[in-house]
Amino acid sequence: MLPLLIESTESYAGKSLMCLGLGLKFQRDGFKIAYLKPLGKSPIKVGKIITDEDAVFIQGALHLDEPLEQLCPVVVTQDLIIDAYDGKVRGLDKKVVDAYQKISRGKDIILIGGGGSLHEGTFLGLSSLRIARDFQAKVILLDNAEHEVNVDCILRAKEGLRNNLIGIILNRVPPHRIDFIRQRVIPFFQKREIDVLGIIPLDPLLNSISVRELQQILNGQFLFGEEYDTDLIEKFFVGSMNADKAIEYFKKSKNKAVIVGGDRPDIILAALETPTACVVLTGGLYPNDILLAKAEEMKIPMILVKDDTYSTVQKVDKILGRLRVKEEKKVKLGAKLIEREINFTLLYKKAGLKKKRKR
Amino acid sequence: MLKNFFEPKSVVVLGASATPGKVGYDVLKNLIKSNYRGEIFPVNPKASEIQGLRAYPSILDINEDIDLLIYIIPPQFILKTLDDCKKKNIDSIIAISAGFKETGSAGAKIEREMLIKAKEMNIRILGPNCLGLIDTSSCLNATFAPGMPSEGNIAFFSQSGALCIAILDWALGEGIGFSKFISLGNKSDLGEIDFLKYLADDESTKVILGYLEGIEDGRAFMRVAREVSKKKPVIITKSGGTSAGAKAASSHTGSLAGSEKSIKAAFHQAGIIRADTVNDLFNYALAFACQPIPKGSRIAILSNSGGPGIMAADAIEQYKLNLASFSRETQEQLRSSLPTIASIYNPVDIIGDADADRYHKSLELIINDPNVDGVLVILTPTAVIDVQGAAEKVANLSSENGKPVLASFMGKVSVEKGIKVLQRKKVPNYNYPESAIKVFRIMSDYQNWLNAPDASYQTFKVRQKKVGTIFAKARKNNLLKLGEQEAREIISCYGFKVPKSILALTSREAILAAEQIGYPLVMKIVSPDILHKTDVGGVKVDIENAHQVEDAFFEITSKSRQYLTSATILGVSIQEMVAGGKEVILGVSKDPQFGPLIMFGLGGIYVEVLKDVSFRIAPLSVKDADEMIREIHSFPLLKGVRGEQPTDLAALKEYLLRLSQLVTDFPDIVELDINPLIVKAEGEGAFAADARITLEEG
Repeated sequence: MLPLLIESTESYAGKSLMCLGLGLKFQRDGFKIAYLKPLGKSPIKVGKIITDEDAVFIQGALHLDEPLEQLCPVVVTQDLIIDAYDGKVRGLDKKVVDAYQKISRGKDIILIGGGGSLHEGTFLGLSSLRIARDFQAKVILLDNAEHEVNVDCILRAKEGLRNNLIGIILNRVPPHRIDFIRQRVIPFFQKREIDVLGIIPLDPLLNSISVRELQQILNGQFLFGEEYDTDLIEKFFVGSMNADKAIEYFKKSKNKAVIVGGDRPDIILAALETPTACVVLTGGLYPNDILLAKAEEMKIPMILVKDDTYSTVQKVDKILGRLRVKEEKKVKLGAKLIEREINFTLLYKKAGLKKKRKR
Repeated sequence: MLKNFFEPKSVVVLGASATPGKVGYDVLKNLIKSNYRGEIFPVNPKASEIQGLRAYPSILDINEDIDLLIYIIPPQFILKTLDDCKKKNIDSIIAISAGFKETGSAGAKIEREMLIKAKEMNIRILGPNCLGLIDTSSCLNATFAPGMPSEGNIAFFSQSGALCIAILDWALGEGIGFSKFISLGNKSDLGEIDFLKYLADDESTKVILGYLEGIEDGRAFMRVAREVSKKKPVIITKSGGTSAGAKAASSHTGSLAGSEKSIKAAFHQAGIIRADTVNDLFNYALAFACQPIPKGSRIAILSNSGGPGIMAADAIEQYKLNLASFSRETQEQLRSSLPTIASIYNPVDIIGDADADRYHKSLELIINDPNVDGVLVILTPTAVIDVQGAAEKVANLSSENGKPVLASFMGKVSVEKGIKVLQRKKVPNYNYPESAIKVFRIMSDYQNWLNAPDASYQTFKVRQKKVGTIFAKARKNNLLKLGEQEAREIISCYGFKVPKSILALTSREAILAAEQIGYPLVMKIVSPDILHKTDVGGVKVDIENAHQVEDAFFEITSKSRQYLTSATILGVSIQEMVAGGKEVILGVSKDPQFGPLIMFGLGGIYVEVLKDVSFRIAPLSVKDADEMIREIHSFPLLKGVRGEQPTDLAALKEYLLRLSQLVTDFPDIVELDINPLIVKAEGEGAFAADARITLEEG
């Protein structure tokens, strides 16, 4: 039985999708899988149970039978935070150990969803570092390399975990950085006995956000097109130039959302005339009926928000790259990328796993 | 104070010209042609004589005393000219020249320097970039406009010079006379406030008209206008009310047009008559200039045809005037003097075969009826009518009586001569009866304004010092957006009743708080990052037991985190639920020109969708507060419909006044919302269930 902790150098690096992708691959290779989320940070209620959104997602996707209380023994709620400050929280570690023992029976691999750093959870006595030690887990470290590779964090993790760190995966690598990483970064880590198990390229679809998610984040109101709420948005544009420029600029990208003041019919029209996934009207300003009719004709959803354009952009900016992957289309693509880009031969070797034949 | 602008004994024309087509030529020509009685000194270094007058090389070469200087040379000489003015003791300048602020930064710099220097030297300046001014009583035409209006009792100031020229031309055609005509230009020094003050005491002016694009100091303007409008009607067209108009105005004058709702409220509170169009401006002006103000709102209609009379009656209802009901005596007399098929009830139809005498007889009876405050005489040009004769009779009667008579002689060719008679005899004529009725409405409003006692203000005993301390502390912590907790404390210092409320950090605390306050309850997220609590699922109402408290607590805290991953959650406020009552919203937003603008409306869709709200500028008088409540369309819902109990309007009014006191005491509040204020049944008071306050930066 192998406990395998999936950890990352920062929050929102893509751990959940990674757990899912790895889990699916392991299952295909004949392994029996369990999943444990020791510290759930996204509280959600399922029936009467308070649990974690990631746990629910992975339980469903990997068809796991264990109850949610065992998948996620500790959920960080407002109550728990305050109690922890007041020194009233004890025995969380025991809860985690109990859960671990229950779910691991008869399993080959226990995937453990870690935190945004090895120290995360120290506050509650449940840091990843501690969990890795207590369960003698092997660790895969995921790094969001969209802008920079977090070399310092990775080296620190190696110091803390030593040989239990079986390798790192660089996620969201932009195409123009791949060569650099192959030529410079991988050899650098190899010299320090850190294996790079895979490089996952940045994918616009995986980074996308659905029209429904956008509407929820912005507390917007659908003026039209609620039925197209699963359409995915990959890029955002702010419409504040003149209409001629806007068309020039808009026609170059599809799957885009245009954020524009509701009182700019010219820009709204430019957005509707070019391939657009969604138009967000700011300032609580209703467009006129002609524009609504046009949106209907072009089947482009229109969302009205109360905020001004700047605040709207800020909200979008804050949330991009932080969304949980939920849409089937994205999950499939993510799993495909993981299977294709990760060197499973190396991973199995480092983890001491032998591929089983699927029954 | 501005006497030298209107009645100078001598005028210098700096930049006078002998070349037709130049502004310096036209100004001098206008001065000479208008029979100005004082002395004119043209200044131009290149000529010894211009248009028959001796010309001087410079101002300093003139040996006489000078009251007024007209500046028509390029902007760069203005500072030197100010020095010369000082030497010659000239304290008034009309700067006609363009090329200042309106042309860009170089011009703006000169204009700023000019203003500073002029202030130091106590020199007043009209303009620059203006048409000049006209005073018909002193025969002074210091403009380059073609044509001089006839003498009259209307004063007109305008921020647009071009509009001045158009109106002058039109007035000449219509035979409308003016007392003063002032083009304000860039309003660098003298502006609408100065001229309002001057015209208020000007004996030759009976009505003040203005066309404005922007108002510089809104509060001072209101203060002055409120006084002036008690002396004579002030009618203003303020353009730039739409966003397109505001855009155009800001690029035209470089000043903010001001929000439409503030302007509307400010004009109303200052007794200014707002004319939406220039057409209305003159329709109103003519009536005030020529006719007495009606003492009431009971209007009689006299017509020789059915249709127009009915339309006028419709308009009377539409403009909320009253169709006068005649005394029995008048009815009898009308019956005996009119053909049997005539209608002797208001609107009086003296039928198609009416002649001038029948008009005379009927009008005489109607106008003397004590139940009539004003009469509209409608005439359609039938074959039998002597239009001129009828006009004479109507006009003669109108001048004998203290009641206003307006006319609507409908048509064009056949009524033209009659209308001329009316014009000459000062009976305003309107092409269509509806326009005349609208004028009656405006006049009647003005009479109400005159009758209204001086605004009374009510102040309450409040804990101003405490609020000052709270604000100071918030400022010290750089906390400009005060959430519900602080806002509640502040408004309760100003006498607002707030529901009991306890902040809970955990669900256990929430349950304890709930037991203490008692069910049913309201629970709300407390977070400085969340302004629209309901939008993020941050409000739960009708909580009935501990179990629901626990559930709601979890849902509120986890949902709020979900939507705004970095939202700071200070806890959940457990609040007494105020049962029954109507939800209203009180709001304040600070207008850059007029100060705190107070809003009132019924909560929910009434404000958000229907925009059914009223506005006034603080401080509110008792009357203002009363009007605000009654003005909204949904007022009947507050008063109680279908057997509902009326809500506590007295408490609502008091809260508006208390709110006004708060924002007047603390002008650094830029935004304040009390939403909802729950107004209970009459006598049971009101509760501010939620509030937030934003302070000005800096």
